[in-house]
Amino acid sequence: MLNRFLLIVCLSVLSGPVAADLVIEITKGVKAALPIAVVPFANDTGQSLNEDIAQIVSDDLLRSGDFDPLARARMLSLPSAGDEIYFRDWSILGQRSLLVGNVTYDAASQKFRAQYELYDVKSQTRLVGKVLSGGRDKLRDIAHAIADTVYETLTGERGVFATQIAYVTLEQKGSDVQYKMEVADADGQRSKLIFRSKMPLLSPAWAPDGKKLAYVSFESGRPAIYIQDIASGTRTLIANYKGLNSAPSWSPDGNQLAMTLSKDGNAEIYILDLRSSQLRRLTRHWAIDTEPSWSPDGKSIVFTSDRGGGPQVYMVGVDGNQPRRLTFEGSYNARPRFSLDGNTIYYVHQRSGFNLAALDLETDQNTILTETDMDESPSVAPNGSMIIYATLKQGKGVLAVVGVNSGSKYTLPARVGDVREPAWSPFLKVN
Amino acid sequence: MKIANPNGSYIAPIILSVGLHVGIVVLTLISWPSLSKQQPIAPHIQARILDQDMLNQLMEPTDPLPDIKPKPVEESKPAPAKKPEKTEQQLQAEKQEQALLEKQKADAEKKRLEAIALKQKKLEEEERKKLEEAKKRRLAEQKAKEKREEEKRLAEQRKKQKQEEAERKRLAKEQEVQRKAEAKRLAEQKKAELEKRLKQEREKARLEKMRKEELALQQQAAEFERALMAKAEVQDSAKRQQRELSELEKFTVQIKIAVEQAWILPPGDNSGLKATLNLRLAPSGDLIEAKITQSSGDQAYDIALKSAAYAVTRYPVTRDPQLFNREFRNMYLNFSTE
Repeated sequence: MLNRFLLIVCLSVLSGPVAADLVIEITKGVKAALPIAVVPFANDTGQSLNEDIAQIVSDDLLRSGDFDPLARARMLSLPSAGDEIYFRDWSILGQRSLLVGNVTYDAASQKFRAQYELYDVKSQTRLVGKVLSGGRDKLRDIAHAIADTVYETLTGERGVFATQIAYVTLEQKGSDVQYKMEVADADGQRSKLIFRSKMPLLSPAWAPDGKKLAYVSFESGRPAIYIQDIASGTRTLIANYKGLNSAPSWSPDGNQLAMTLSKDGNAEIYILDLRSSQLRRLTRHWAIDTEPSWSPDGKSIVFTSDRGGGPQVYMVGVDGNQPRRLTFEGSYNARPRFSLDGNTIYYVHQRSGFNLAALDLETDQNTILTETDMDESPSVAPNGSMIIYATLKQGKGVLAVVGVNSGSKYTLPARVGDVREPAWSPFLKVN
Repeated sequence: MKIANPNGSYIAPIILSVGLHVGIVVLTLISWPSLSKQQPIAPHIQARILDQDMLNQLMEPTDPLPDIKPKPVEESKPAPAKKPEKTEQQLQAEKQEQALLEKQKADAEKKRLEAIALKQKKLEEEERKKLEEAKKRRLAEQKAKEKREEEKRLAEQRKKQKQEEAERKRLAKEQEVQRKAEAKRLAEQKKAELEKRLKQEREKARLEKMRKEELALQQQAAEFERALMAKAEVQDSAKRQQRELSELEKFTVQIKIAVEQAWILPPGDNSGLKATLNLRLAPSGDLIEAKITQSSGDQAYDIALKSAAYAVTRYPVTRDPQLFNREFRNMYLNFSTE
């Protein structure tokens, strides 16, 4: 008797939405930058801070193209913790998200402590609350880490604000030419020198573990491929064959390096096993085959070949079966790079100028991504959301970033000289 | 009220009429010399005039006394008093003579009287006897008479009885006849009644049938009307449903648009993600609470759609309280992206 009663109770409770309750299908939303207010963190350290954490976070989020940070001048109040928040202040400004925080200093450990909270303004619920600490030189890292957390919470994707970029600068002072390979934060800050040379440096390629860079150096008078350990600075010559040694590309597992060698007559693509130093030839064609790039699953390699008459993008399996052409529009399609999910190829496409383009491998649809028109050397961010590339701005070589899906579009801060050959690091382990 | 007189004056007739009435009244009031009042009737005395001659007769019973029948009381007229027409002298002489006579008489009388008395006694005795005998005779006669009368009476009674009997019989017969007639009448009445009843029943049946038919027709009509009304009701209810449906549709569309405009999609590929949000609304359209009842599995997606629900400042809802309570008070949003 009781059991039956319970059964009936359970059935009626678990029956779900009553038939009469209205159910509305919401099938589309708006693709727009999310309005977010990043309130200046309260400085409770008792000293001046050389870094404005909230500003770094705000700038990171802005550059992603997925967020629309609120200008500080428009903020009606400056809360630093949840109990100080008056949600209406932010709701009436159309904000959806709110980041508040404060920084304190622990003299004993000489560490700064940043406490932050992320709120959803409309539902007035707290989404994230964390504490990060580090030395004075880590304030920017703390800021980028906060930006990453906010980004991931609200977009579901991993942020790349704590990643780095490698690039080459060229400074010419009269007849003095200086090539420098540098690594900087993804926002272009805190650059540090990796290698300098009077001879050209090209094609930096990050090892998947983020600790090494492979690149081409003409320091010996001929193009050779080196691998340099970033932390220690140790360099290793790994390819110095007759002819060309260029365009290194790491396999996803970091054990192999694809490269262009012309030792056997003309430029072909080879794969070097870094553990065994075994070299395997991938392409066999009298035309130029160069600029290899591994797919994220490690099974395919896309490259540029002019076997069709002019530079076009081709794909070949790592087992070396017959390459197939991917690009058919225009006379120049080169420098291919895989997207993070392996479904899209980014490359340089020439029409009136040189633009970055995206090819959807499933639909064969091509899309032009950039409005700048002297684009080259695309490198995809490790979350696949942005592409960094080299372009000319007022005759000067600069690095630019374009969002793949967002409207992100920015240029890295100008540096002395021309900047070129960008390479976006993988996700770096936080130290 | 004045009566109009169209044909001349009514004065003369009025006077005559009044005079007549007055005359009648006067006449009745005047006491005419009525018939003389009836003198009071003196108490009747049964008197036998005893004069000399009679006495003489009595002394000598010659004839049997006549039957003394109790004479009915006669209404005798009181004799008028005779007035003697004689002079006073005569009267005196007469008186003396008379006195002498009277004395002689008296003596004689006395003797006679004594004799008479004796005789009278005897007579009286005899008379008494006679009276007694007479009485007896009378009694006997009376008895006989009574007997006779009794007999007569009896006879009469018998006769009467017979008569009565006859009468009774006659009556009985009459009654019988009457009864028979009555019975017949009753029978006929009954028959008539029966017929009447039959007729009535037939009539009733006919009426009943008619009534039933009418009822059936009425029922038909009523059903028809009911069907019409039901149809109208259905139409009404259909209209109401239609109205509710159209209201429902209208507000559904409005809510859908409002939420979709407020839903900032997370960047990247959201295809295949779906979630369900339960909304509790106030009749004003204000959101009381939004709760995820079915998560998409993607935190950023869930945050975005929940934020969208809260970002709608006021939900467009019906003002019909019934419809609101049924559909809108507790509703669900199914979020999905292709």
